[in-house]
Amino acid sequence: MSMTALGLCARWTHVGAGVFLVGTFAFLLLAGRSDRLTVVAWERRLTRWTRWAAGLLLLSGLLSLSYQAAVVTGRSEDALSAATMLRVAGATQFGTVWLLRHGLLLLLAGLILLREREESGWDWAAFRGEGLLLGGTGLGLLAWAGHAAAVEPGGLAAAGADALHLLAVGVWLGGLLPLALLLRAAGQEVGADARPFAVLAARSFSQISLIAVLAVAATGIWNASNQIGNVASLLGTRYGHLLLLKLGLFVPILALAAVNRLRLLPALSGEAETVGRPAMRRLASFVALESALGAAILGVVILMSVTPPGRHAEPWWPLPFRFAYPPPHDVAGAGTRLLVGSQVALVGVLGLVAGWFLGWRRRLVVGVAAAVLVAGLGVALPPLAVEAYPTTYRRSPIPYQAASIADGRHLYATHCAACHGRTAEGDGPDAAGLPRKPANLSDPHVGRHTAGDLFWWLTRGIPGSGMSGFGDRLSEAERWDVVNFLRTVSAAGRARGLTAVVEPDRPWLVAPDFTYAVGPGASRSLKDYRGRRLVLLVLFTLPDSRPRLGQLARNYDILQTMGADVVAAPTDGGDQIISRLGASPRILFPVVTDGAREIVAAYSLFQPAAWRSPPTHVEYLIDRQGYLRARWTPDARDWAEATGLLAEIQQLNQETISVPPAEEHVH
Amino acid sequence: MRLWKAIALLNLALGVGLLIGYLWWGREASRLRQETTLTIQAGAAALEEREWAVRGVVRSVIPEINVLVVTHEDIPGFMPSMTMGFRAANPKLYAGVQVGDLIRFTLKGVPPNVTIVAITREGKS
Amino acid sequence: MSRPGLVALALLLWGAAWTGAHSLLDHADPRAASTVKTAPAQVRIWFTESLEPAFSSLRVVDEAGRRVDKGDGRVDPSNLKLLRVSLPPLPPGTYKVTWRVLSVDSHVTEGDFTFRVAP
Repeated sequence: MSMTALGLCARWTHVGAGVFLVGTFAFLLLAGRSDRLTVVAWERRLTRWTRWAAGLLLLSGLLSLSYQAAVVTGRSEDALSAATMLRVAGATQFGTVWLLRHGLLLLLAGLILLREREESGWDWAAFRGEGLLLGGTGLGLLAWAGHAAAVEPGGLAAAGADALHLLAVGVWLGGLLPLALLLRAAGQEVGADARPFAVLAARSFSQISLIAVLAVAATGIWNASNQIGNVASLLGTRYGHLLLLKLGLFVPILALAAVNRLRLLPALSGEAETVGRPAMRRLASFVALESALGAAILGVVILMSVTPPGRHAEPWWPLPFRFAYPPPHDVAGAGTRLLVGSQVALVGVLGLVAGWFLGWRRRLVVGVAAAVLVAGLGVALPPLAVEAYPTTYRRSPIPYQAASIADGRHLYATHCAACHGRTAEGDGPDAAGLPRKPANLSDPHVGRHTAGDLFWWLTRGIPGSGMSGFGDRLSEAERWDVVNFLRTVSAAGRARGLTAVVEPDRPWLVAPDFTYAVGPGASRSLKDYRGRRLVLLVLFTLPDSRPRLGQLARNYDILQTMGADVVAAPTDGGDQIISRLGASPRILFPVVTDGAREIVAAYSLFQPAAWRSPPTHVEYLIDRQGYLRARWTPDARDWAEATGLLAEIQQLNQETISVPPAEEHVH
Repeated sequence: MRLWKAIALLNLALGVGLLIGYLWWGREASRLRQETTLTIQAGAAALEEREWAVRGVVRSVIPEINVLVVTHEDIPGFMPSMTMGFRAANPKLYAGVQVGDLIRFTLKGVPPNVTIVAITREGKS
Repeated sequence: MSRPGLVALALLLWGAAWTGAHSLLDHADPRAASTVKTAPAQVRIWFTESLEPAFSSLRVVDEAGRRVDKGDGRVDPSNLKLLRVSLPPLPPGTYKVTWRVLSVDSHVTEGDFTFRVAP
């Protein structure tokens, strides 16, 4: 058996034993004291099992540490290296949590051995309470060594929710086995003395487990939203599939639990020979089945713990369609259909709720309401359905950066412009010979397709349209560069109306990140200014821009005092640009000597005349969240005097931050 | 001793241990913070003369006050890469140096009082 | 999904290789696959999750596979998501950065990228 399988088995045993111990102590507390012979025998048996469980818990814990030692160094022989294990325990968060937990688990093991000395009622409660406390803390702390620990921000809340999830699972799932054993003992002919005790215990457990299951569901949804986040990751990643598998195992458990609660539990107090005992035996086997399914769920959970969470993995969309609002293509009457359909569906939902509570002809009402709901959805949804592809929800692995956009622009000119046109309007010289007119890529509707859609078409082509696939000609990174470029073109199309006046509190246009250096100075990125400074990005030409640069230089100290920095990039690429600028008037703000070509290739697209070559002087004001907020060209008066520019900067300074920072990857 | 008493004692010990651990952690954290500040201050106030060879691009020459403004690379242990004015030990050093020149210069002195003591031109930028 | 489908899925998932990719490279300076005019004084890589300093490292090698960094590759003490190593003045050429990190959720990720120092 492989190292990994062994390590996973150890973890599974560890969690399983922990859950069993927590559930058993909780159940013993819940069931109360009894001196009936059958109950005493059952308790003795459980105690024996807890000893085994505690032993297994410690052993599998040790194995988990040794497995982790092999994982962190990547050498399987380190699983047996005491030195590596000590380093893992001493110098990682996993190790800290491990030490803490195993300290508590050792105490728990000692406690279980002391059980024999129980004398009074106080002893009875203290023993079980302490077992629950130590076992529960040991189980809950696991949350701080798993995926939840890495959630940011809100790691404490995420780990807390995960801990609560584990505890609720412990109380509920771990309590099933003791319950099954008790019911089986009491369901036999000789166990008659324990029957009232068993019935009462089953009822209290039923109440507690209902609360626990609700807690499991609530914290589970919270965990899933932290680790997966969206439908694409649920349906399209391995982590999401494991969660679906987990839910798939959870549904039969819930069905069994419902049968137990609604049918078998009331039957327990019936006539012993004909109703009570058969019901009790069936309940015992159903509960045992539930706990077996629970053990399978724990197996899935262990697999999830070593799988990258959905939020980090790239989803592979399994369906040929998705729902989009608004739809990328305008379908006639879609708005009306959506309105009518959603209202009909709402009536269906109300009918369902009403039917459930009315009780009057419930089946008929519920059936009709369900039909109305389906009909409503049938009217509303089809216009929203758009074709989807496996890569539809892929996020670009290449950040939305000037360098990538510049590369994409170059690739576009080489491979795409012949058909789609130099300015991306679908009017290239080769367009005429194609079966379908090439898409106008500067049209706003392009922005309504996901980046993953574009990537798919770029990779595989569009059958029957003349668009061929570039999967074999361009590398994956190059295709994403083209997607980043197309995103810029589409954003620039929507930015036509951008002016020199900041629209208050309405940032929407993401400023692509860029990296620059001045001479041998360290390179800096736009992102370095994030949250701290505004940036005035100036694309300039010589000699026309020299007076304007001099004016900005004279006002540089005021600009800096107001929280704005200036970055100037020459549109001609910048060979010896500082020498060419000359000594007077003195310019001390960053003049890009390294990276200007990329900045200009990307940012010139946001100019009013986006495709003019070479580009002319233009200035962009970028806010602290990374959004492009205003644009000035010398033909406008607004910033011709420095006061005009300062007024816009002041406007941005007064703004309350209302949106999250600009995304670094296109969607 | 009764079992429940033993357990109560155990929990008391765990609680006290937790408290002590928490206090120790808090003290350790503030000690580390202090140490960091001290180290930074010590680094800034090192009272010995030092010398660096630094590359930079000349942004401005101001002979009236004998200063060269340079966008320079990181100066280890002194300052990160930035645009900064440095006094020259001797006006002859920057004779012929023009804005945009790529230079390698030697800084010497007791921080923060450093002066340029040598300049070599490497090209234009 | 049908029962056999579920079983098949479970088997598929069991049989698959478990390579965890948890703390992912967010961005790097110099940028992956980029060409820089001036040799960088250090390589910095930002990750998506906090790293364990004891088991996270990076190294830079030249085309011949010789290690060229100053051997001080480690997690930045003030930013646990940042891994950095300093470099001596590098001659022009292509350099490969290899990293292997352990994130706080106990998973290991490794990877590499290259950058080029232009003559």
